Amino acid sequence: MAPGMGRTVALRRREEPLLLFAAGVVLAALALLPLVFLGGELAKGDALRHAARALSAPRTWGLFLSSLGVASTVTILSLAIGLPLGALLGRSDVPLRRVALWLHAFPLFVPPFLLALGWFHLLGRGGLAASGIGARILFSTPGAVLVLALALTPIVTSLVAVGLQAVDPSLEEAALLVARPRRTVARILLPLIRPAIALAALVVFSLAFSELGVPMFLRVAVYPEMVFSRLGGVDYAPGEAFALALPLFAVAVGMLAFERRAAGRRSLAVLGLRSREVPDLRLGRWRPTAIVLAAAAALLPLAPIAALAIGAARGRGFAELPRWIGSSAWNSLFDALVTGTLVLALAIVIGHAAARRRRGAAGLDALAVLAFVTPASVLGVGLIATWNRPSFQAVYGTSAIVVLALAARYGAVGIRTAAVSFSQGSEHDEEAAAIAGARFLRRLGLILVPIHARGLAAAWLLAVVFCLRDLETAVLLYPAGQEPLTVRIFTLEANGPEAVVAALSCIQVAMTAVVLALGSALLFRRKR
Amino acid sequence: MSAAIQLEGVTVLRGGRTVLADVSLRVPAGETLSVLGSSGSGKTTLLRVVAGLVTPQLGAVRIGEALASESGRIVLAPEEREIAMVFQDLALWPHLTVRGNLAFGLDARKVPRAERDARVAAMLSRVGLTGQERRHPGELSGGERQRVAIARALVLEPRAVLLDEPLSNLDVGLKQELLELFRELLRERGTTALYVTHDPREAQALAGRAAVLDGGRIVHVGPLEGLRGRPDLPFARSVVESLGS
Repeated sequence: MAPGMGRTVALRRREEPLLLFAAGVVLAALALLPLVFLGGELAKGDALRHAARALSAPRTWGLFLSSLGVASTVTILSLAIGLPLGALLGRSDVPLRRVALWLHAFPLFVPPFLLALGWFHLLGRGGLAASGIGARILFSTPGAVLVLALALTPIVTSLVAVGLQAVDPSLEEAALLVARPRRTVARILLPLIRPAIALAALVVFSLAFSELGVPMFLRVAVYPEMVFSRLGGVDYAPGEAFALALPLFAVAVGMLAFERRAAGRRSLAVLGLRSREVPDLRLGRWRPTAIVLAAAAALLPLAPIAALAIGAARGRGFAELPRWIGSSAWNSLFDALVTGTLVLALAIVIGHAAARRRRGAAGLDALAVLAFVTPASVLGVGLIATWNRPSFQAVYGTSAIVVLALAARYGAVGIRTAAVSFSQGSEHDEEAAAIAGARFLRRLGLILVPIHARGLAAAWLLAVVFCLRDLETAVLLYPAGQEPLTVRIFTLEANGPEAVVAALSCIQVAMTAVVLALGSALLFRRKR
Repeated sequence: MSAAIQLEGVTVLRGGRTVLADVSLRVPAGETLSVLGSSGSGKTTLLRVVAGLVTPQLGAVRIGEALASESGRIVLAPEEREIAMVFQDLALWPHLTVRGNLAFGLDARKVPRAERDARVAAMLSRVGLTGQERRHPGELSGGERQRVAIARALVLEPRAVLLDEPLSNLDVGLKQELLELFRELLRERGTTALYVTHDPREAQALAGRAAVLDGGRIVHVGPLEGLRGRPDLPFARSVVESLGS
């Protein structure tokens, strides 16, 4: 064999590790580099003096603890509501439970501050159900906790419902033969999906801890806002922002450790290959109560969205839209679609490697999770430190910086979804293709991607929707004149016409609904 | 002798396909009846109908004297039938220990703690698993898991036990050993059993009678030898060949 040909064969044999390496380099550039540059900034000039000053202020730690308290309370509340609701909407004999789950889960894809805005249109001054006490509660820490808990509970509900539906039917049936449904859920099903519950708790905590829009709108001081305010406005002090990001990063590392211990690979585990349908769990005499609860779960989260629509219609906000919307909706859509596609490319390679336990994949998965649980303000500060240079203006001065940031932050969403899909398929499919002589790229293109098309489409759709709902990442980095719709609403919210802000919010909701509807139609299309 | 399990004209339809067609069967108390049939013949569905996990569209199921299912509705819920089942994949709960797996059903039936512990210990001793109480299913060998599964079913002292191909995928030596254990346990307790298998030798080793399913219909009930006179049935031919002359 000619030497050149030998090299080609060797390269082909190494297609899989080389591709994984390339994906790893891209992920590291997106998620690791900003954190490294963030550390580098602290070593510059008098940055350490700034850091010492910022971190020694009593207000810093007071706010830090209070933010931890808010995020913890939101997580506990979400678990308390989402666990029973997930069981109810996932596996019980409540009529129309799938519709109820969809309606309940929808606000998850809407930026939480929009829901806060909706609650304001409902309970605030001049609202549809205005009262002094309602407004006072809303504009307080408990109010922020409640708004966030209602916005984020669908994460727990959905993961619990999906987890329960994935439990091997025979494990459930073996319990149903000897125990009532309630005991079966409490003692068998919920413990079996513990990794999914841990993952849900982690996602809720990290999103609540990172949240900027809801506390700022409800005038509740939180730690991430301190970092945000140092990057713009009267408090501009980037050196301090770098320092203040450090405790947030420490929390992110703690969350990653929790995720590795409590969920990690097990959240990808196929709890059982569902080979047949199991009858719904019978609620017996509790069914009427459960139906009321399910209806409340479906309708309550939609109340603020309805209030926004009514507010917009009443104040002729929709008529004013063309004057105010600019290109923000298109910017949102463009950023989300490009990011979703980039995330999908990474997810196919890294998700497959994680599902098949390839060497290095666990590290890349952990890096993606770290970027997801790292508060957006930290990642944003790191990205500014990395890309805000004259030679990188083609990136920093354009939408590319938003795409990079969103891909870093939501890469884990796509990678995990793809990994779950690959985990659920038989490894024999690709082994048979390998035995038949197909190299990795060929196996990927002709076997794996077609077989897992739905799972991969779901990974893309989730990444797109998470990008559409993002405010925290984009608000730090958007280039002038190219702000996405969430940022447009957020900036107008302070001093723009109320009805117009409500109308813009409705556009954001409608845009998400259309993307979800189109994506779902594609996903749930009957297989030929 | 009174029937422990009785099916009267049971029909199960799924997706426009008839899975069980007008099945009638009577299993007297204390008898072990094998259910034989090729893949897709409806064997597992038959067990699930008896357990109350599948509702027959037509016909009735009686457990003892009680009506358990009737034309499209479950009268007795699965947990009220006092039936135990050993699943093909065993369905041992991975998050519970061996002891936890056995105690779960007793706890659900509110058996007092002292009695529960005594019954679990006695059953584990009977199946040769004393000392393994604290281990999880994932830490056991294939044979040990089979023993836990049968112990979990019998510790409840059920009215009847349903076994869904519990010995498939085991090597011949282990299969023989466990078959012997099943036979002893069922005989000494006088437990009624429905034993689903596709292996005629297993069926003959465990039960005097067998019900043969073909395309969702019962085509034979009685000793397997009786199939020698049914050359019209393709499955019967393979059974006769397996049994030898």
